[in-house]
Amino acid sequence: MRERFHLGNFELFVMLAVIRLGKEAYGVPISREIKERASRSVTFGSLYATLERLQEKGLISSELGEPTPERGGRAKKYFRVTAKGLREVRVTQRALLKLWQDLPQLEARRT
Amino acid sequence: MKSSESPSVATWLLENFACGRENHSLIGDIVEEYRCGHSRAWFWKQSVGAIIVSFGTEIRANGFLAVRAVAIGWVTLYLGRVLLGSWPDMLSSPFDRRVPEAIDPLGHNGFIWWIFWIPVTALSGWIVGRFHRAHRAMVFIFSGSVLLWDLRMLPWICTLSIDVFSNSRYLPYLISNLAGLTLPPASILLAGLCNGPLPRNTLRLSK
Repeated sequence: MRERFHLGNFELFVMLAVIRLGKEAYGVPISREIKERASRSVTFGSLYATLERLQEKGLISSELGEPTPERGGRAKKYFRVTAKGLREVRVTQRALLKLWQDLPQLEARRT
Repeated sequence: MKSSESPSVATWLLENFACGRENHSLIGDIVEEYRCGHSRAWFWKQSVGAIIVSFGTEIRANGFLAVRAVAIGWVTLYLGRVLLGSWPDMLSSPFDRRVPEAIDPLGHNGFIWWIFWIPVTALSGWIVGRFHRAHRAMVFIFSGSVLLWDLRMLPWICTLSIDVFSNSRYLPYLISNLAGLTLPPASILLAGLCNGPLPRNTLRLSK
């Protein structure tokens, strides 16, 4: 049986932000993306803990950029979603859509 | 005008105690965002949050080490207490009538006891730090366990805090109890974290 990950709420937010940002996905834009689109303020500590966890699961990969002066000489770390990560997001999306269907309580709110 | 330099103490704490794999990039992101107009309070909040999260992650990932650190620390404290025996009381007896009450309100030269006991607590922190040089969060968890144990004094401290308003005579008692609550965990932290290797050597920067 295939190993199945269960993406948590915040993990899914991070994955979607990384997919959306493409090659520009590092800590600062990821946190801004989540803040703007999900109205959720993000602390860098929890963001990096999540990124590290997703990396350990093989759902994202990372590479170091060049150090820049505006970051006090520290390099950016760029994240990219792996094929496995993309598959996992699709699986989560399908599961959520199925759960969303035929819920009269939510249907009524839409109108 | 707001300085573009990040708060140096918070940055130092981040560099030394945020022990994740992504340490350097994490600090860089916080500095970059801070220079975009965030306040010093924001920087501090992010730094403390990052340190707490990194310690939490480390403790969750190394449950056995956390239990071992607490056990080693408490055994050291117990042995230190046994070895000290009644020496502090014996050594303080010549001063019994010479120490002013304001310095030693409890009447049994408590400060001499603390002169002996604080090095013991510091030694226990040092030993825990020495055994867990790659996992500095373990010193925090041991120090936290000691603080938790000392919190049993809290009701008494609260009572004294109220009494101080009506009679200043209780102030030395309050100070003495507050010192008893805070000094042992603080000395454990200081000694435990001072002996570890520099984090720059232990940073595990991933590719």
